[in-house]
Amino acid sequence: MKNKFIYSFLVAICLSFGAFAQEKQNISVLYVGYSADKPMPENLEATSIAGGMTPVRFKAEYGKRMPAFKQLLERYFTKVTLVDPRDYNEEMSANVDVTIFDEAPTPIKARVIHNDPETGEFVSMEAAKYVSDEFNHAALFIGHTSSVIGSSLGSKLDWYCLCLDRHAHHIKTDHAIFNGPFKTSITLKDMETPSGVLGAFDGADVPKKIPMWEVDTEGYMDGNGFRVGMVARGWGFEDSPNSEIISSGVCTKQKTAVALGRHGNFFLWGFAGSPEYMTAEAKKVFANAIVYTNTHKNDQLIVRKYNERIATKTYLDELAYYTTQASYNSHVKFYEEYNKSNEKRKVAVEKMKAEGKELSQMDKIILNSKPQEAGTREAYLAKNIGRNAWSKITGIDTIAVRKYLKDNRPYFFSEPDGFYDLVVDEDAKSLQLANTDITLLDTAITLLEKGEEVEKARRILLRYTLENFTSPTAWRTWFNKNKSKLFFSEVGGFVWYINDATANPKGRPRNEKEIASLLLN
Amino acid sequence: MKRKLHLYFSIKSNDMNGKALLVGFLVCFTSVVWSQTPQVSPELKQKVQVAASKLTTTETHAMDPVAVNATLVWSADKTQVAVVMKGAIEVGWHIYAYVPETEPYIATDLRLELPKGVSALGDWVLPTSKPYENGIYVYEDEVLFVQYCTVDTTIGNVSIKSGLYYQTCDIHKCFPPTTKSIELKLNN
Repeated sequence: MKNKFIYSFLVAICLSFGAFAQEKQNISVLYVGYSADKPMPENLEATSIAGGMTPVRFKAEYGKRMPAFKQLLERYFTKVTLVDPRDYNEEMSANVDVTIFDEAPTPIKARVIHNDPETGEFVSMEAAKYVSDEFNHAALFIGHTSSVIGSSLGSKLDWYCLCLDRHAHHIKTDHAIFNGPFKTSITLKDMETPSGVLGAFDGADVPKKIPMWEVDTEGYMDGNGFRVGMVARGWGFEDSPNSEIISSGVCTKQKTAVALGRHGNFFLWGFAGSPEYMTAEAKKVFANAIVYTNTHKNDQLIVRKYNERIATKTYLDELAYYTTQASYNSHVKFYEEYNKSNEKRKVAVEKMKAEGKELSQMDKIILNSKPQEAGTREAYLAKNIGRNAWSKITGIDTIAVRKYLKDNRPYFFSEPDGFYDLVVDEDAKSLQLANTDITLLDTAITLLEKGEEVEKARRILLRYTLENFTSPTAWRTWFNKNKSKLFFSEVGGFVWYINDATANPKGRPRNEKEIASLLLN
Repeated sequence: MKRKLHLYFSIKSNDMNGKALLVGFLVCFTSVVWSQTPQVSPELKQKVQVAASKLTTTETHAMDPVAVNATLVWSADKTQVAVVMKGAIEVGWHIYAYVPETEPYIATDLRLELPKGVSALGDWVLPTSKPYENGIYVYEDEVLFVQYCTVDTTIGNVSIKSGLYYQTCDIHKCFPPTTKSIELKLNN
C-alpha cells in the first residue's frame, strides 16, 4: 500500500513536470507571411515571393500558411502577432522577442551592380534591401527569406542553394533545439545519401546510407510543385563567435550545406513546409528553435558576410581534389551516365515520332540534344585549375598544383569581392607567417615601429584589419588592448575582428585597389 | 494532320467513287491547310544564319553570367520576320533547357510579345541542349533561339518584345530566376 502511494506520487510529480515542460513559453512572436485577406501577389515567378513553389501550387496554397503557423505558435507561445509582409515594418520586430519571416517584406532598395567607370567591368554588387542596415532584431528565417532578407545585412545565412527537400542529415542531435523546452524524440532512419554529398570533393568517406530525420511530410522532390527549402554555405560558417551549424539536409549540394543554423540572433530554418506539412517532431523542434533564438536575442552579428561567394581555404581542398585521377574518373562517369540515359530516352522519343505521336516540349528537347563531352583529363584540369590566376605558375601539372596549394596554404587570401578567387599574399609569405596567425599583425606593427619595410607592414595591416591608424603607437595600443579578443574570419573578408559587436569599425574589408590608394596618402 | 487524313482514306475508301470524292476532298483540304500555314522562306533562313553569326552580346561575368541580345531579320518580300535571340553563357555556367518536376531548378522560358498583325509561324527553333544530372537538360556556352513570324503588310511602327526567363547556375551558385527582354522596332 505504501509502495503504491509512493509510486503514484512519483508518477504525479513526473506528469506535472512533463506538463510544465509543455507549457507555453512567455515569448512574444511575430509571424510575417501572406494573409488570405490580401490579394495574391502578381509575380509568382519571383523566388522572393514564391520560394520556388510552382505558380499552380502557390495559388492552391495561398492564405493557408498563416493559419497553420498561427495554430502552432499559439500552442507554444503566450503572445502571437501575425502580419502580411506588405504591411510589415521594422518597428513591429522591435516590439516582439522573435520575428518569424515566412515571406519577405516589400523591398526598400533594388540590387545595385557597381561597374568600373573606365573599363565597364563588374566591380561589386550591393544586395537588394528588404530591411534597413540597422535591422538587428532576433529573427527566424524560413527557407528563401534567410538570404533574400539577410543578404544586405551580411548574414551568413546566405543563398547556397534553393534546393532543400524535406529530410535533415548530419544533425547535431545533442543541440538545445532537440532537447527542449518542448520535449520530443528525434526519429532517425537510415536513408540513401544524396548524390550531391557523395559526388562532392568531401564526400568520399560518407556511407551510402546515412541517418536522416523527417522534417516535412512533403518536399519538392515529390514532384507536386512544393515550396523549396534553402541551404546556406557551410564553409567558414563557424569561423566567428555566435555562429553554429546545427544540421544539413537533403539537397543537391554537399554535406556541409546548412539547413539549420544560427548567425548571431538570426536563425535559419531552411525547410520550407508550413506546420501543415511538418512532422509532429519537427513542430516541437521548430518551437524550440524559436525559444533558442530568443535566448540569443542580444547576440549581434560581429562578422558580416557581404560576399556570399568569397572562397575560404577549404576551397583549396576542393581544388586539390580536382587534380586527382579519382575526381576526373568521377566526372567521366557522371557524363557517361547522363549520355547513356539520354540515349535511351532519345530512342524512345524517336519511336514515338515514327509512330506519329505528339511530342511534348521535353521530347523535342531530348530529340534536339547532343551528348556531353567529358573531354580529356588535360581539358578537365584546364577548366578547373586553369581559371585560377596562380595556375600561370603551376600550369596543370597535378603534382606542382598540389605542392603549390600545400606550400602556400598559410598565405592564401581572397579580396573581399573575389568570387572563388584565392591568391597568395606575398607579403605574409615573405615573413613566413600565416595570415591566420596573429603574430603577423604583431610583426607588421613591429616593422612599423622600427621603420623597416613600412609599406609592406602597412599593406598587411590594412589588408587584415578594418583599422587605419596613422602612427605605429596607435597600432600598438590597439593591438595590445585587443589581441586577446581578436579572431580571424575568412568569410568576413580575411580580416581580424574583435570579439565584440560594438568594438569593430563599421567599414568593410578593403580590396587591393583601396589599399594601394591609402598607401599613397 | 495530313498523316491522319491518309489513314482515314485507306480505311474508308472501298469503292472508286468514294475514292475520287476523298481525293478531291484531300486536295482541297491540303491546299487550305497549306495556305493557312505558310512556310518559312529558305532565303530568310539563310539570312538568319548570317545575322546570328554577327549578333553580339555584352560581356558576361560571374555576377551576371548570361547576356542576351536579339535582332530582327526580314524576308525580302517583307511578309516574314525572324526574331533572332542569342544568349551568351559564362564558361562553367549553364541555364536549364528542361527540368523534371522533381528537381528544384527553373527551366528557361522564351518570352514573346507580338503586336497586332504579327503572328508566330510555328514554335521557337531551339538550340541543342545537353543531358545533365537527374534527367535535367542544360544549355551552355552560346545559344540561339529563333522565332519566325508572318507580318501583315498594314502594320505600322510597332515593336516586338522578346525575352529569356532563366535561372543560371554553376557548381557553387544558383542565381534566382530572372528575365532579360529586348524591344525590337518593326520598321516595315
